[in-house]
Amino acid sequence: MDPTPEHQTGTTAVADRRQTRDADFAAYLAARQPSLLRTAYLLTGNRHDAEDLVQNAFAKLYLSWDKVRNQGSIDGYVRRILVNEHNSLWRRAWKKREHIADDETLHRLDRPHHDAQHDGVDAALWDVVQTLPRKARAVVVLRYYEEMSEAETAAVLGISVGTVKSQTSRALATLRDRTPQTLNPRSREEDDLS
Amino acid sequence: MNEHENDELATRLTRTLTDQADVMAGSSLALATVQGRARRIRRRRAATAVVAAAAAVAVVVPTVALASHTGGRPEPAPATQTPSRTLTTTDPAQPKAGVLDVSDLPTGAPPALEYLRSGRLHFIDGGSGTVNTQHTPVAFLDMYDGSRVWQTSQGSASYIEIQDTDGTFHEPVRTSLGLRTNPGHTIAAWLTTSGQVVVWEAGATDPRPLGDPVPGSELTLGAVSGNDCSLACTVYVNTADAQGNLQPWEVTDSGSQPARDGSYLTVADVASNGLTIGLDKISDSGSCSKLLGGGEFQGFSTCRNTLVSFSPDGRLVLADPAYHDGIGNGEIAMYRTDGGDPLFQRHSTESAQSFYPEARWEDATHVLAPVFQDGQWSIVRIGSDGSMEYAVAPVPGTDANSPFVLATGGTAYGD
Amino acid sequence: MKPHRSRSLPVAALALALLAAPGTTAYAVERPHTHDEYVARTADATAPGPLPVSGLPVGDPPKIAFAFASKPEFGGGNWRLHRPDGSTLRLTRLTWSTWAPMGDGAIGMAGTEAGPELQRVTGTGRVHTRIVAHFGLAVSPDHEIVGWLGDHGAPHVVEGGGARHLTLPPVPHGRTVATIQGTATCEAQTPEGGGCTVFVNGARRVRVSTSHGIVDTIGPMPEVSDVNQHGRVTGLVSRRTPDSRACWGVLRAGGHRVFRTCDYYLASFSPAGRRVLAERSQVRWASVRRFAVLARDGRVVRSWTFDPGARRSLSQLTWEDDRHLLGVLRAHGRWGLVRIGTDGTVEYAGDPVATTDELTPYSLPLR
Repeated sequence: MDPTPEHQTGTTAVADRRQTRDADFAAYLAARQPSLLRTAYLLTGNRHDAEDLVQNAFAKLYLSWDKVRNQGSIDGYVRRILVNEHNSLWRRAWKKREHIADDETLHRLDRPHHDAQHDGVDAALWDVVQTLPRKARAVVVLRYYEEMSEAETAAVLGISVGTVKSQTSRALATLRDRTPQTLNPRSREEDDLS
Repeated sequence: MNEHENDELATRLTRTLTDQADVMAGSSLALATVQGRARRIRRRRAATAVVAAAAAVAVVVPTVALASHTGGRPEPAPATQTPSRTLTTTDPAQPKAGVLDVSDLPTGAPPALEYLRSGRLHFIDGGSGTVNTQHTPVAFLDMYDGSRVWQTSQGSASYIEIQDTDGTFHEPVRTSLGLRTNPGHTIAAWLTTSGQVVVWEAGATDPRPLGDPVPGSELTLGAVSGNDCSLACTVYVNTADAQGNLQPWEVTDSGSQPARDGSYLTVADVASNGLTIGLDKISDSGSCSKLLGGGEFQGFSTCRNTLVSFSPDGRLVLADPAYHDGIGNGEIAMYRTDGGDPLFQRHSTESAQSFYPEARWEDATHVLAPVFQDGQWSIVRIGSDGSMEYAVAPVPGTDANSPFVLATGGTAYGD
Repeated sequence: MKPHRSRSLPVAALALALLAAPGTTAYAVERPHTHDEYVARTADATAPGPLPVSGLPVGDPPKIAFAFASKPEFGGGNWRLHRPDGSTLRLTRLTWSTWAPMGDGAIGMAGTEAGPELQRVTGTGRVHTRIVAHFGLAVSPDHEIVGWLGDHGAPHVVEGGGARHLTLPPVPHGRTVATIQGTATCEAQTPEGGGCTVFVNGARRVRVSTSHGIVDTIGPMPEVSDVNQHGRVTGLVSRRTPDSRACWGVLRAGGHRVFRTCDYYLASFSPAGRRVLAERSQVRWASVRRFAVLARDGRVVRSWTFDPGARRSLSQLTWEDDRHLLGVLRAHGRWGLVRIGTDGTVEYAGDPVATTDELTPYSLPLR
């Protein structure tokens, strides 16, 4: 006798719920992981660490999926996990596998950037971003890559808006300081071709 | 810095970051991978605050060290000791208070530590798998990142075989017997046959030597403290010289030197809060252990038991007999770090002749121990109130060969 | 600091060349004999070796000044100048990116939220600051003259240990000072001696402003990084394209190109002007991954690789003397100044410090 839905055993009901839950989560994972992987790369500077960071973040999201899925702010929540995970790995000071001249960075060095217009200024700018302290780097990535507002950035990082402001301006000052060849708009418009 | 300049830089930044992030195009995560990682995280959380005692692997090692200093004269089993008052519940399912009788215990949850059973590795979620080390596994350590360090043996030779997170093995390296870890399971330490401490940190490419070789004829690993050997970590090595004088050594990146602080004869364990336990005195009939902290922390000493290891949060101390004979431990006890009488003591008796090689902390208030009694081995869970239950029900076996090996140090402390 | 023997001829030659033919580009690129000839010279004779960083011995402290902060901060810290004689001087609270010792004190440029701030600290600890128009600081090879780009593109120089401040003719479209050629003083003396030339990088052109009152465009390289006492410059010879890397080269005062390389960015000349530091990245504070010392004909004297990691970096490479580089190394839980010899020897220059901080406690001067 096949069990009718209302006579389903507890085990079967649990299995069905789990399947729906997994399907929901899988959909979110598929939709959101590309952008999260990119953000993670900008935070960590290398591909392997980025993938590992995102795996951890999604794994933690999976564990709290039931609580979070109906709240509507999953994106912010998972970004918060991502940044905290990145910072906490750092705080705990345990070393991930060191990378020998990261593959894609070597390629970047060996193969010129596809967009020749940028003349290497962008390469220098990325190099300097990577010299920023972690918190400042996270602020820069959230503000200028994710294009979050100051308030959103503050919420994800768990810091005040004032700190976001000062970290941002200090970071920009450092970026200019360390790449004096960066555009100076005053001379840009007048730039001559003589 | 005017707004215009900042806008200009902002635009450049956005473009630069967007271009750079393209590196990740083509990366993708599968649901199964994420679920696997989630399972690992859940295991760590379930076993939160577990730091196992990480006692020396082979039951033989500490007792040999001690027996040689007590002249090896056996004492009668401590059957005449009066059981201390305990907090054991009056649950009729529990054996008589103060007695280490594991013949008929209730069955509880399976171990929250990985363990070997007859050479097969049992995971926390109940599954099991084969062990693909080159030599015979005798102990293993679960590192924080999911990699494992195996201690294996072939004849009289011991080896370390490191297993990376993807399951691949490093080549075996010859070592002496003994494997230790720090509370966070980020560092594994062992000794070479020439007394050199070697550390391996989770995620490092290769293990590396720490400090200078430690002199002495009998070396055993004591404890590992610190989180990251590239910053600062200390490995304690207990030594004995030709005359039988005991002296612990501290091994760090700066070198190796005798550990004089506290005047211990051996260092058994160091908690992450800095408390230290070890042997204080040894006599022909027994020993005294002490716990010391720093500053105003008083500590205590006892000659009733040997203090063995701290609980993960450093609040409780596991203890075993003050005198070790060669078979195994016939007594188990727990103390609070603020001293006084033990929380409980259980010891074997003539009618309940039981022993265990070593116990490991499973969480803040429970230890697990493979126990032998009446031709059977079981893994018993013992709580800080002295209550006992089976984590793995009894299986037949001989007293000389335990089928069970619990993970050294259990799963990592914290998340 | 002992000044180098006055080398007036190259400057005079430049001045004369410019005077003789106004508008002439003094650093015109000579057609190479063969394309292969120049590029081949820079091919590594041997593959670069990894820089050893484990178990380094500790050698003498640096022979040049350096700055150290036991508590560095992002945009701050308790920085102290350490002079070669061992004496120290408290510096301002701001982190200097680019700086150089000057007289008994030092001069540096800090990136502040208000803009680039020039700061000069005297030997008695007195601090003079001013917000300037452009980032970038340059130091003459003999450390006597320090310059930056001020309002309207006018190069400013400070010399005589801070006693004299001069303004040179403004340079149109300038963005940052690249380097200064001159000895002891910019003040024009006889036509045969003295004076200085400030090289200013613009968006597409390099211009010079001399103390003789001349402003001119030099090219065709769009950027220079350094000049030595003999008037040779290191400059960007061709920009990156979809098919090739950027190429840098050394050009003589007369305009002939000595060599070029497409493997490296040419960062600076050694103090005696005979060797060139070559790196992959143009950013001084980013960790190197590969760097080399080149001879004046472009031959690779020695090259190294370095694997940066989460807590491993080597940056701020600076010449200590003609046979040694100094860098800031982070490895094995320590930050330290490392001395790298062109003979391959590597040692700490003074005891490293153990610290968990991601912010570097060391800062090396431009020269």
